[in-house]
Amino acid sequence: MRDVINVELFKLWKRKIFIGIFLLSNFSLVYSLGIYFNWSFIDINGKLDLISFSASMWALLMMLGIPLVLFTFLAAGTLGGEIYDGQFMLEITRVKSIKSLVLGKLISIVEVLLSFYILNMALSSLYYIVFVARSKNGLGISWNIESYHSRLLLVSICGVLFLILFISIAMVVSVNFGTFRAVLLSLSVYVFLKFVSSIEGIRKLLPGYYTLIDDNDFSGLILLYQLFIMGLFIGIAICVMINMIKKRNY
Amino acid sequence: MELLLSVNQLVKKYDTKTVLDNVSFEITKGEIVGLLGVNGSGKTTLMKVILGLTSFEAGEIKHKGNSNYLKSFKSRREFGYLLDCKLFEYLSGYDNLYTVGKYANHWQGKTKTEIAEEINGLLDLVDLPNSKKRVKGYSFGMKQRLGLAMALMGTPDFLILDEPFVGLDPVGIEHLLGFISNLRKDLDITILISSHQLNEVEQISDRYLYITNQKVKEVTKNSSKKYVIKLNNPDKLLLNQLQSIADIEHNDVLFEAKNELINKVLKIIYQNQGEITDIQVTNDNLVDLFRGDSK
Repeated sequence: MRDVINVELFKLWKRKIFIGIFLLSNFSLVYSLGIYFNWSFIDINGKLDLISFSASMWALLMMLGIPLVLFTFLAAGTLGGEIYDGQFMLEITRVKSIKSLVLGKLISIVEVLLSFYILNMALSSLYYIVFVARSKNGLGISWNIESYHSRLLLVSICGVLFLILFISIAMVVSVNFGTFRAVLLSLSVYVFLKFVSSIEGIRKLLPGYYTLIDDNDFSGLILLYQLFIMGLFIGIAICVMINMIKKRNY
Repeated sequence: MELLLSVNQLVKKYDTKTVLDNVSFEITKGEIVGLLGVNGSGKTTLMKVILGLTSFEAGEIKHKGNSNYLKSFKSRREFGYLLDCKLFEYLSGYDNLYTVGKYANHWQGKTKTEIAEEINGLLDLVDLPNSKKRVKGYSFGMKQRLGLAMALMGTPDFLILDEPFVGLDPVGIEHLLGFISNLRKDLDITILISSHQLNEVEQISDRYLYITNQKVKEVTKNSSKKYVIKLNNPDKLLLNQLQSIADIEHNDVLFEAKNELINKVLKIIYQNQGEITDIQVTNDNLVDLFRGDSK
């Protein structure tokens, strides 16, 4: 399966996706410079330390929906896009198994997502140290990890898992609907979840509670439940995807 | 002769429409078999079924006696194919071959130099330059040749070519015909080649499978030939004169491939200022089959 993952990454590299990923990872630079130069349109209340700044930048990106659109588009394109454009035929007859092809495609997108997350956090940290730490919004540079830091990081990791869930959904939908409709349908699912999450009684049960609700309650139990429910849905999506690919005529 | 592929009582339907109905045939090692039929007769579907790209409702396909060949990675690697599939347009020809080889696990245990040598060898074989030019900028003929190089990767023992002559200019067709003949001669590759262009398939095939009314008919190669001359808007007088020595089908003039006859036919066309759009020499059996189907 590693061969499939590598070749998918190679194709993404050749399509210059990583330039886009790198540029987007510099999102926090705008905020850092804004804080440093006191730009009027950057308005941050309170003071931030290194981890809370990095986690806030990630949360802001997630709130804007940029990673959601980007990664559902990449995921749908890598499967449904190739099915509808015809390149999938070149792959499916040559790979060891359909399972390894589908998982390889999914894992390659997840690897890009993880690179994006890590790069984003690393660059946010760098820009914090260079521009924010000594500004009016900065708390200097401290390497002490408080409990709320762990909470912030765990919530941001839940955001990554939420994106993996949507990558899986986009891939499933793309098998029968192609890239663009898969992205639109995935975004519709997100909007639906966002709408349902406004209902107080069930919001904690929804997959992606920590991403959908800004003012969330953090507890170990909810965190475990969230990891379980998202993992379960991702697993179901993978099984459905493999079955759909096996049954499809090309 | 070793039996390479056997298809027994194959039934393929798209929803309720039957495309292939109880199709049976065999292909032995080293043969070049032409798969013929009018557009939409099911040639591509049959090839896709053999390659496992499309499911089928009933029947059995065996490769070297094994009906589970599609489940075996080793068996599937023995097939090479050129279907109407799109290439990775954003990659160069070299990168396309590298990518496909990577999916097939073909580069495992090979050094970068060995991989480069093999890819460059394949590009040379199909007469394509190793440039950084993306496939997006290739001509149709170049794309066909790259597809052929992909099909030949790993030296398969069974090659399936779907309409390989479509979009090629006469020089390209001539080149491809020679290339396919050499594949059998040099590498002993068995080839199933589909086309609705009789001339080309006829030149290289040992025998034909002809798909008509969802069935496959085996057609042996006949030494008797026919000329087919296609005319552009011939007038009635011309057709009446030709009718005395040849068959007329729409605007096509068909007659036995004898020198004295062609002289007579051409003379009549010349005298009546008829405009010839195409001349074909083809197998007598095949012309009759196609004429029957296109009516």
